[in-house]
Amino acid sequence: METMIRGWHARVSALEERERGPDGAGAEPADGASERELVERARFGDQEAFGELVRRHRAQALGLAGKLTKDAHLAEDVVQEALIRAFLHLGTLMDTGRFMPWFQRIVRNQAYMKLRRGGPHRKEVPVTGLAAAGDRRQGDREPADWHDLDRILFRLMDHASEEAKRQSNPEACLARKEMLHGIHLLLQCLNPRERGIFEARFFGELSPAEIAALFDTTTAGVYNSLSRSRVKLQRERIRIAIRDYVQKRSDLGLPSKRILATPP
Amino acid sequence: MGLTGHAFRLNIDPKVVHAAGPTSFPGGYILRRNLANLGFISNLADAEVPVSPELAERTLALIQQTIDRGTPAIAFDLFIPEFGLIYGYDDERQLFHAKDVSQDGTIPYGQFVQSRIGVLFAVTISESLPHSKYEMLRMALDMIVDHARSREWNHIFHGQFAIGLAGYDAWIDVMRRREADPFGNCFNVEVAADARVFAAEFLRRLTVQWNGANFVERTVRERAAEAMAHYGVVAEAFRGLEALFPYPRGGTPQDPESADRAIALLTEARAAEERGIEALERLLDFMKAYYSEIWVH
Repeated sequence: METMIRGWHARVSALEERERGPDGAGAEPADGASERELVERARFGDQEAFGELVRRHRAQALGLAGKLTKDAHLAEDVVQEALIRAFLHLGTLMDTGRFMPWFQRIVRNQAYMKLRRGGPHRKEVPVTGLAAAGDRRQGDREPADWHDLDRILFRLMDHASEEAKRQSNPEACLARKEMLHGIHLLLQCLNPRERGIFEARFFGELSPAEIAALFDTTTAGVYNSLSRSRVKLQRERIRIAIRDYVQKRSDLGLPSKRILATPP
Repeated sequence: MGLTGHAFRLNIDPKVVHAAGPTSFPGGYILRRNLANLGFISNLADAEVPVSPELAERTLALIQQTIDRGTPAIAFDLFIPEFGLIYGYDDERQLFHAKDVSQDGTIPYGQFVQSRIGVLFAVTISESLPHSKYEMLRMALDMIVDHARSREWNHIFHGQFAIGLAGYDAWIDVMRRREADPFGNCFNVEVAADARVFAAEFLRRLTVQWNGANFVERTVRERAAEAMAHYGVVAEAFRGLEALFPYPRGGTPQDPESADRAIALLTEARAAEERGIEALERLLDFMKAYYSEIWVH
């Protein structure tokens, strides 16, 4: 538990914290209660309240709680980064014709956003970097640094161009088909409205304001929906991963059940 | 709790003596050092959430492997944010059998992977090593003394909590400011009171289990007896605090009379613990020079 939690992880966690509705796995009876209420309940032996108190304090000590939700630009940043990550595994094998324009638009928007924002990174202009994308120095296979959006984007593009090269390989085509099927499966876990917003954001790369107008909601509503979608996608990915893992163990003939004596 | 040093720990939130204090330490590091002291090779999983499917699989596999070997896995926040054990798995139903201080029950794999503490944490034991009792005691003392003197590596919690003797100072300061959280305060009292009883008992056992056959054995007995007397005083002071701030209601720690009484008891406990630690430091210095398991002379 001591592992450093930083960058967008922390920011997204805080967003998720805000998003957790009554149906969320993270939803607890103590959710939304004030520290004072929790203390009172803990004093009457309420274990849920005790747990919530401790978790919250730990999160604060670790700097997880932020005021980010009030900052629209930051929220946009967070959502965009988070969604790019969610789609990293999916997007790699997507149809290149559809993928590239989408991708370039994200890069362009991100560049404008950074220019507009200025600040310590104002000299890093992603568009300049984009021109150097063909430079293989950027094409390393090291895990991407999730805190640096530009590197994530280069990695994405690298994947995409590699994928294009493998077009003649039937195995790769099959894998891509399976991946598309996977995307389809994953998107099924979203309700139609969430799915619409998600797709509009990703395939159309509309601005949150445009999406908001399209779905007759507020920009904040769009952010909420995007963030919820990401959480659902993550859960769905994990659910599928666990299902496959258990199946793999079964195929390998590993034991399916083992229960030791209950510890004292 | 003795050889792992937990009987000697004090981890205090310097703002209000929050209930999160006792468990806010770098668990992976401390637990694995504890296990090494006890003679085990251990493994750690602490992937950041949301975890990738690959890291989720590897964590599940690590837990299943140790259960297959017949040893439960150590986890955190199974049912409440405390350490607990996972002692069984069922792939068909996709759930773990687990137990912590709050309950014995099952947790679906999917829920376990969506950890609520920021990381997907598990520690497992892989092998037992032959260990000398000299080495075990020396390593335990090293941990105990480092903790008491706030030299313990604290990683991301660094600066957030006051540890060891400094924990008493922080606690006393909160009491002076009349800002103790009633629940957090009584929970910390409960944890520390329990721990110090074990500390005194651990030291008592050293005085009878070490056989006195040679100079090293005799020195261990003497120093442990000396420290035991001081830790007895510490435990007694905490009994007084328990009576003042009974768990879970916690009394009225912000009330000047209770707070002043608490300051007196904490000051007494701190002074005794400092003398106890000095005795253990002398013992540690002495132990650093002896490595033979059998010494005929």
